[in-house]
Amino acid sequence: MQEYIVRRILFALLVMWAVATLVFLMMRAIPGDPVRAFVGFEGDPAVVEQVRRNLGLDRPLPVQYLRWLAALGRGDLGNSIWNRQPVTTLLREALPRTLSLALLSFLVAVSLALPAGIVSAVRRYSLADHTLTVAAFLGLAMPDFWVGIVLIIVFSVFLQVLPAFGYEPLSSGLWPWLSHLILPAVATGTSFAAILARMTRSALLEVLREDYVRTARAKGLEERAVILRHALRNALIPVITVMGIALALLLAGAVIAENVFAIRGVGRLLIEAILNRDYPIVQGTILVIAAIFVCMNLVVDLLYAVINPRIRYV
Amino acid sequence: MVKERDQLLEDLRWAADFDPEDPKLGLQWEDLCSDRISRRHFLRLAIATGALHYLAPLLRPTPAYAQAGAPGGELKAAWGVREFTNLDPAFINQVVQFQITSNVLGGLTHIDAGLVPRPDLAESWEVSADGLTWTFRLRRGVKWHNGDSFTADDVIYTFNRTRDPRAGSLHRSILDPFEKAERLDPFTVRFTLKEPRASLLVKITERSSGRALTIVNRRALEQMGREYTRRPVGTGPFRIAEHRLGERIVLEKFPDYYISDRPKLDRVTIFNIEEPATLASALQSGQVDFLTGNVAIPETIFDRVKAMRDVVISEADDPGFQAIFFNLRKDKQQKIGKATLPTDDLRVRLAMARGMDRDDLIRRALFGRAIPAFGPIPRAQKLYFRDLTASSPQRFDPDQARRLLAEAGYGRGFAIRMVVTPITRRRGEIIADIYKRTLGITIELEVVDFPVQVQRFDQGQFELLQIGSGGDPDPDDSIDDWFWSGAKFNSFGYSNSQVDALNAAQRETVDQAKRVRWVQAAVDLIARDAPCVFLFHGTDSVAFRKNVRGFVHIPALRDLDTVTVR
Repeated sequence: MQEYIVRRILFALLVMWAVATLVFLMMRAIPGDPVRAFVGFEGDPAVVEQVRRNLGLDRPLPVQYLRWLAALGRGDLGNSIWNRQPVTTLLREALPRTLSLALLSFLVAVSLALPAGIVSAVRRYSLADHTLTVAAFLGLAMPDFWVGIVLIIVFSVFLQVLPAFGYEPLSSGLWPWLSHLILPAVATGTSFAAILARMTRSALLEVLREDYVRTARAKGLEERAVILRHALRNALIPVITVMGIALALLLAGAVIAENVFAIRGVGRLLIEAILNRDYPIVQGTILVIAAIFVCMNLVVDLLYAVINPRIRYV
Repeated sequence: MVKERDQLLEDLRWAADFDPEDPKLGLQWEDLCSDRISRRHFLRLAIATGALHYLAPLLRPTPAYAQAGAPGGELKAAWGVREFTNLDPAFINQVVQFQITSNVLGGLTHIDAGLVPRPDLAESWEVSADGLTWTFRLRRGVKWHNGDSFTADDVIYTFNRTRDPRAGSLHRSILDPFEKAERLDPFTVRFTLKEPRASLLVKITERSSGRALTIVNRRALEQMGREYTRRPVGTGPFRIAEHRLGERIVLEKFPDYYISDRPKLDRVTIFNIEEPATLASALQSGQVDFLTGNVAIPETIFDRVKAMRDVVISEADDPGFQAIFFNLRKDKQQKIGKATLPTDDLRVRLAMARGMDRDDLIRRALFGRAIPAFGPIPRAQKLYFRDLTASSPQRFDPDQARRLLAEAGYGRGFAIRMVVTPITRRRGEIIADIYKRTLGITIELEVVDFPVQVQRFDQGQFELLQIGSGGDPDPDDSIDDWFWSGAKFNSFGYSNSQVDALNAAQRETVDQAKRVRWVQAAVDLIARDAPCVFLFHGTDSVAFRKNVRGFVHIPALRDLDTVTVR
């Protein structure tokens, strides 16, 4: 197991280096000159070239690449071309926002999806099942940004109970933090909830047909114990895989809610940077997102082993 | 007849909307001292003197919200922009950024609502008869936010910093006409120029848009490094207490500001809300009291904001222009793989200029909030602007346009590509639709990100390209930067020696009347040569609740030092 973990970590580092290199090259391959765009309609060609020199973007590509890698080794992700701030600072500000939002969206999704999925599976083809199915399709059909805008109009403009935009760090108090995140988390979480609920339902239905479930019922176990202790545990394996992917996707997928609710998270930072061709931000942000994905994968794989003792990697 | 009546009502409403406490009645001395007086100004005087006294209450659109209330309190505001990328003047590349710094930093001069330069950190100035020597007497007793005293050294430091290539100021070339800057004593500065600059007070020493000489603090720059671009230290009415990039800026009253009773507010919190629907909701839900977009209120929410109770919209002419540029370069073969384009023929270009139904474009693309453009000079530049709707070589005349096109051998139209960005795409589609219907010209849109558009424009890799200029308080911003052979942004290959001569003359004269004449003559020539189809000048707009008072609307700016909130 230990050797397995070490191997996984080394492989993860390799993946991250590959991602970093790929992003470095891709950003430079797409058209659009960041310096020219930054100078915009301000300076003449001489100014553009001066700014390029000052940023070290006039050097040959291999030199730029090696410099960037060397800085990376020192934990320095460089400075933004546009706003001149260190990328590490920008990420330090953006990450807590995105993590808060992703976690809360995830909680919203799971707390809606699991009960709904279980009820649907246990009471298949009942009124409850049909209602939940329709709700799930609705949840999937409504685009996040539209849900967000509607939520703002209902809860901020008409009821005036929740703020329409912005973010407050946890340090300003639990309620300020939470109240700013409820609407974006619901807007982002509902579509994931729909997917997770459908997954839970089908996985559980499959497991409920298994022999050991019949055996458990034959032993006279309460139905609750059968479902929660025996069936659900096995049914959750594919669901947890999806949850892991969902949580990682939420980190990047929260960008829509971040935009609607004016929360400056990682997603927004990245999209802006790509549009502006702000190389250092794009490189640093994708690297961090890749690291999170890789860690997620690792955690999910280890969770399998915890949930199902039969799963062991050799 | 009806149109005439509506116009008169409109003029009357405008005339009635002024602060009775204002000795100048909201007019500029220039307006009153010129040899002609406009109907609007005449009506305002008539109302003010009581001649039309009984009409005033009927006409006043709002209970004079221009009058300030009691000082103190906090204003919460929202700006429809992603982030205030840089607030260090050396790196400011967007109007929204200097909208903020105009409240925080100082310059030698500052424009008023008529775009006329007024004293800011300079109390007075003199210019030699040849226009080559400018002497500025500085205001004494001005304090920086960090407690330093403002002196001539700060002006010299700023001047040298802008000129230093290693400092990387984007505005270095603005100071090209300068020979040197000298400190004559702690409160006198003398600039010596190689060639005169008529625009000096409006374009160079101005505190907001004239970023080359917006005064910065040496000690703070050396202490803070890159952080200065987030929280610059200035001499302005407000200091920056907090700036979370892309989220909010908190401005605090600077108690030692040189105007003792300003700013009125204790605090201003400005939020960045890029999504227009959320921006409108923020105002509607009462979370903010003041709203502006990326300059104007976004078109998509304008009507929603206008319909809100207790919300006032202040409008001003946006100092800028939008146009469709033709590619007149000689090296088209290597740039776009075509040696010639139909638009190389002047008749075709004029046909496109005359076939552009600007009213229709403004109605559909800007929901009516803009005025047609027939040249680069916006209406905000009052002294230089003329209404050319009926007289311009680019005036709308579809029959004439079709005739010109037929003469040039394109009676059945032709196909051509136009570069736009995702943001201007919708406008591009409407332009394409208008040309398809009036002239049979098929425009294929090439949608590219802004950085790519700038690059393509720069290198002449386009057939048509829709772009424009903003934050232009002076004719130099409109003509000198764009339309002479060596202009900063003239990458579209336009060259006319007469325009060059007129531009050089207007740029260097110290005679205001002559400058107006030369600028207008240059505009006529440019319109006739049609290096581009001029489309429109936008409308600058701000919305705020009625409890926000005393806002003085300088076109494109958002100065908050006179504002109060109840």
